[in-house]
Amino acid sequence: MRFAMLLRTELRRSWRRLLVVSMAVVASVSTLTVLGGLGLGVYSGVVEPLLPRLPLRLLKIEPRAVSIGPIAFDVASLGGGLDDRALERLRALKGVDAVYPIVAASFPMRAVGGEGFIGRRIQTDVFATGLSSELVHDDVSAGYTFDDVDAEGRVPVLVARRLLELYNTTVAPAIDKPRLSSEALIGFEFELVLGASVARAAQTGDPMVRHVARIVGLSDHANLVGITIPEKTLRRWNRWWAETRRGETQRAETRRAETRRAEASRAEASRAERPRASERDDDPLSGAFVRIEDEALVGEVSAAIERAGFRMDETPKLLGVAVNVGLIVSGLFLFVVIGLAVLTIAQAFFLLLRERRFDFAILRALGARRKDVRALVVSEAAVVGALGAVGGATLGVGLLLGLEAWFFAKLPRLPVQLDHVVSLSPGLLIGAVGFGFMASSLGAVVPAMMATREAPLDVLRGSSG
Amino acid sequence: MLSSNDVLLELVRVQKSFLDGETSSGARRTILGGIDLEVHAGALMAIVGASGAGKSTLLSVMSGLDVVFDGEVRLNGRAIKAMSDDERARLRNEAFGFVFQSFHLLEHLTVAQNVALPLWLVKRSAKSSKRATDDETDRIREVLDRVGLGDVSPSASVRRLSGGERQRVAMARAIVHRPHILFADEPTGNLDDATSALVISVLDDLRRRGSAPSDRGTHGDGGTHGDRGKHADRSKDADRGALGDGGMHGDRGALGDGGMHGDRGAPGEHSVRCAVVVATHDPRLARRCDRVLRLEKGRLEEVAGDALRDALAD
Ligand SMILES: Nc1ncnc2c1ncn2[C@@H]1O[C@H](COP(=O)(O)OP(=O)(O)O)[C@@H](O)[C@H]1O
Ligand SMILES: [Mg+2]
Repeated sequence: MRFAMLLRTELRRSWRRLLVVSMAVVASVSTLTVLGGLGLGVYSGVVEPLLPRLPLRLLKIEPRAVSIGPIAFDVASLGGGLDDRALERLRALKGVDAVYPIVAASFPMRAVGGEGFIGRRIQTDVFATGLSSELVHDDVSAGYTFDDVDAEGRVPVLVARRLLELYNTTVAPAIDKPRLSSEALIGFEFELVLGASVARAAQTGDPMVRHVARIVGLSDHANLVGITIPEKTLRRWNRWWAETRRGETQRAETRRAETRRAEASRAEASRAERPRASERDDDPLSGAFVRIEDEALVGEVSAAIERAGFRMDETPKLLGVAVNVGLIVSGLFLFVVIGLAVLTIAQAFFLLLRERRFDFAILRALGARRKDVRALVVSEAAVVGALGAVGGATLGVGLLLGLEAWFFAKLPRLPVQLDHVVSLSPGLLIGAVGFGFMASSLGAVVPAMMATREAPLDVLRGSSG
Repeated sequence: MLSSNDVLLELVRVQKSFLDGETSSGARRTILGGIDLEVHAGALMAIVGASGAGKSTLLSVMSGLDVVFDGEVRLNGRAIKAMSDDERARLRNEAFGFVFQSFHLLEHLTVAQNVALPLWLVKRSAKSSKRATDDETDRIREVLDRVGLGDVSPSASVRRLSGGERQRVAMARAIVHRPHILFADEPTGNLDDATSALVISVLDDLRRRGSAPSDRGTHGDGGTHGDRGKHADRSKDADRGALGDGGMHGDRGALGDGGMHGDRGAPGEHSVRCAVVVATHDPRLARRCDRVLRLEKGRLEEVAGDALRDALAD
């Protein structure tokens, strides 16, 4: 059968109805493309980079009350119910394999250096946490140790892998410096001044000690906004700080008591809290890692941990919830759009075929077989579906690109540099185009079968009277 | 007399009745009451009868459009009812031509496209399509010329044609694929005298000379003897048709072996003669036919002489 000829005349004839079909295809395919591209893009460009890449069976626990997280320098606010005694309770939970505290520094600390990288000497307050060498030993680069201050008096330091990425994506371009490789970073030395702060003037009598620090590895366990040193070292330093401070405070108080007796009682009262915290002989904890015996127990154990009154690091969970909510909402939306599209397509074809019922009867009376007529209808649908699908995908890509441009133009500079928020994966585009094509073609099959069910003579006689 | 070999189509005790619409008793009204009929190659046959006698019904049954009847309709010995739906479709596409009483043109197509439809529907091996298209265009011109529409633009929409022109487009469409039997339901029903005369001469010409082209511009000349070269061409044309070697079932064409070539007395002569069956009221048309049969009360009677005059006076 000279199919193309017939197809062309029929397409031309029914273009109005077919336009409705192709609109429905365009709408559903572009929605599919936009939602899919946005979903995949937000996941791969925003969510995934934010999620810590920690083993599934390692949970991170946070102190209850801390809301500004590890940025808080006021270590007295840390703790929030999480201390070494609390960790014992965690260890006792069924399914818990090991618990590693994240020890916080109870004293200010300043880092000095950076000539090698940034080209000038800078100094900045740093926040240090202490982690067990057992937990992070896989993150320590070959040839280095992460145990305690080494023989030459150097402190091993781990840096968050994410921090390097942040530096490379935001800081480096901003200050016009090349990106850093992890190799370049390992072995880098700088000076740590314990007890000193750039932001806060030292109190009289605060002790000050200088150490050389050396980066020995990149870690996902390491704290994101500071440095991570061996737990052993940090606990010792905390003790040193507390003891020296206690001594200094007492001496200072004696001096003050001698000169300003009148104010003594007030001063004592105002400082009452800190000594008490130190007297506990506990280190402030900024959290803990809990390793679970088996991945299968993660849900169970984390529930138990929450029941025991601890707070899980909810970032992954919240992101997970956000992603799920996003998925559900866009899924529903997609469902509605696709449902409407399929209904529209089917309805358009039913109308179209009812209008052409008589024509099909003529074609069949002239010798078209049932399958010829069906093939004609499905081919029309396929042509329209393909055009609509390609148009819809093009529209979707345009919308996605526009959306991304708008997003980057409108949004303030984020702490995390986003590489992309939409994804134009070929798989998605092929899938969306395929969907549109199939929806239209398959949408025509049933109407086409119904249209060829009648005997042509019955149709023709009905019309001619 | 024609030999039995010439029988293209044969009706054996064909019966058809409809539920009587006027009474709710469920009684059936017999339209065709056991009809026996043979259609020979080259015949021009008229079915006459009052309106509502069942002429259209009979044509539908004969052409395989209607298979709801008792009895047999055989095309070259093969029962049409026993064929599959697709085989019958192919039959209508290749062996039969049908001019409907109300034309049944596709309104959204042009004149040429309407005429080309049977050609478009032909299942063909992928030949060089350029040549096929050229041949097709020529063929459409030929048949349009033949039915007296040489002056009508092939690319005109059929919507703009007059009733008589539409009738002749339907006729062109019915003969474009060189059918072996042409059925025409009241082909002169709504036509003026001149056009009727033209249509009648086309039908007569068709059965005499087959559906191959007449000389360009000499349509309706009624001549039976063109030059031999032309007839030889026609003979070749026939081989490409439904009855040709590549026909329906490989070695067995739609009409069976040699069905069409039975009367090939002189080689290359009249080899594609077409049988024409018309349902008509028109005495002018009936008079040109070599057989006139009156359908009345479900029976079919051959009429001639005075009986014919009476029949046509109805
Ligand atoms: N499908 C049908 N159902 C019921 N009655 C029908 C049907 N087709 C035709 N008829 C009846 O059969 C009779 C013959 O119709 P038809 O063959 O069209 O007659 P003619 O062509 O001779 O005028 C009419 O009375 C018509 O009403
Ligand atoms: Mg009739």
